[in-house]
Amino acid sequence: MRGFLHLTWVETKLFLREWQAVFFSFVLLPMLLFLFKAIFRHDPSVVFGNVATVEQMVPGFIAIGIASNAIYIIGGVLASYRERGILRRFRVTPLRPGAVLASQLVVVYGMTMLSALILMGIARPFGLKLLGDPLSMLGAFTLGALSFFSFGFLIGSLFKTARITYSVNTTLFFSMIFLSGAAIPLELLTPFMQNIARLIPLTYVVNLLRDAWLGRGLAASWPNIAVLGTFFVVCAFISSRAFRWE
Amino acid sequence: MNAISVQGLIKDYSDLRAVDGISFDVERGEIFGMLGPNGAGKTTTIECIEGLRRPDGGTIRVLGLDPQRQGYELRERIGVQLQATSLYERIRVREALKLFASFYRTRSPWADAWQRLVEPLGLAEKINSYYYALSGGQKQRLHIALALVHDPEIIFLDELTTGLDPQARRAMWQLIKEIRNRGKTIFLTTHYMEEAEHLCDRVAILDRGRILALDSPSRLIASLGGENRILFTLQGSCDVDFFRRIPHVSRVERIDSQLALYSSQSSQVLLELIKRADSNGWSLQDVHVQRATLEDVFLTLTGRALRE
Repeated sequence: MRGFLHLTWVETKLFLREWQAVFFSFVLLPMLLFLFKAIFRHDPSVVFGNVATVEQMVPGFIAIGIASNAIYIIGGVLASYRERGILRRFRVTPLRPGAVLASQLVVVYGMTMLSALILMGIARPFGLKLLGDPLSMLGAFTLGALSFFSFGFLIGSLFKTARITYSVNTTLFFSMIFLSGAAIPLELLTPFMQNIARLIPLTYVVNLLRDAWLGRGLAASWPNIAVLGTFFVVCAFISSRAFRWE
Repeated sequence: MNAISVQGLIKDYSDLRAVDGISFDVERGEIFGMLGPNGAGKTTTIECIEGLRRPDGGTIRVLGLDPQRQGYELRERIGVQLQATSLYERIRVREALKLFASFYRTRSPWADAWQRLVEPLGLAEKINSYYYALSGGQKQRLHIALALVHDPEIIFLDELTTGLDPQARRAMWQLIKEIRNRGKTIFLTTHYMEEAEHLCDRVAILDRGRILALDSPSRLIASLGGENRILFTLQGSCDVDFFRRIPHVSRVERIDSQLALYSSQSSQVLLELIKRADSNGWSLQDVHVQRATLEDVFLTLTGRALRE
């Protein structure tokens, strides 16, 4: 337990020392929110069901934060730890393998949450506030994060080197943020692309967060919950089978 | 009870038998070395003993424990330096020491003064440096410090001085001896003959997955019959049989462009060699006499040089 807590503390410091991750989570996403607000302004629009466009942006950006940390940090970090022999070095100590995965999960969950809180805090002065209840929002965030983190573990388990993982990650990440409604509202896409969006797991995170954000209630969002629950179980199962320490 | 006891260890990699039924015991408080060329099975053996690899046959007991079934209990009491390993780029030396110390039940004897652990390793100045800013040798020494944080009873060192310059290598040997003098057992692998000879109390010579000889370095060398080796380069062609006929020469070998005469009476052979070269008008170059080394033991046992 002491090893787990200490490792979690060290992993937190290591996360904060990776300036790319820090910049993306805590600086770039809030900056993009300003940019999108400037582009779309604050007009309620019929297309988006009478909800101001920018109102849709905050949950979408939180979803981007989840996807980026899941894919780049969890997926990339595990692959690089394996490649560098760090996981192997831990195996000759009494540290339990589960502690390595758990500490990674705790740190990335905490950092993603922090980035979400910063986004929400920055959106507030612009009148973008949470319309739903905070508990539903926390629940939606947690389910979205856990399902995507297990996806990150899957990526980190499947590919041999950090370099391959990085290429795969970038492809996955960019197709996801553009085709899930996280960055661009799905209503702007052609019907064909909208069908493709239904195959992208991040779409369901965006929808779930948006329902919670706008106060539509989690009960109305059950298809998203069902899809993400299944996604979580499938990814966790495959990655637990495919995971290698070296 | 022995520190380590290995009986009939076998390890296969697909169609290759990397370790072929080896047995040996390591006593407490000794520096035990495995010497052999790359691919002899040294790393496979050490990793089976550490519990990183599952043997395909035989039994291993370390401090009386089975590395496979009682791994966690065992790992509390051993310290390991792996051959190819790395660490987080952006962790500081002190943070790495504290992190590894937190993995063990017992409190590190250095917990209040990490300086005292890293000082003899020459890392005192580097205690606040990031891992990526360390040189290759400093990283190597940090990995040794990490193997020592919990004051283990047995320390495993796999190719510990590979990549170190000669001076750093000697300093490392001194340090390992000091650790042994504190009552610790050390199990190491090396492909440096000098390292095995200077550092180890006992050496197992390993080749193609088998132990060819196991004894103290001095006894292994003495088993050659106390012979010295006369090395020289001869200009032009020569007949090896010619040198074999010099009295007291037991063996003649050609090593690259050099010839080596083995004899227990090296000064008489040397005199005779110079006399015959002179009368035949040959020019002898780069003549020197060497005491036999573990290298010669390996050569005698396998017919091959260790470095090949």
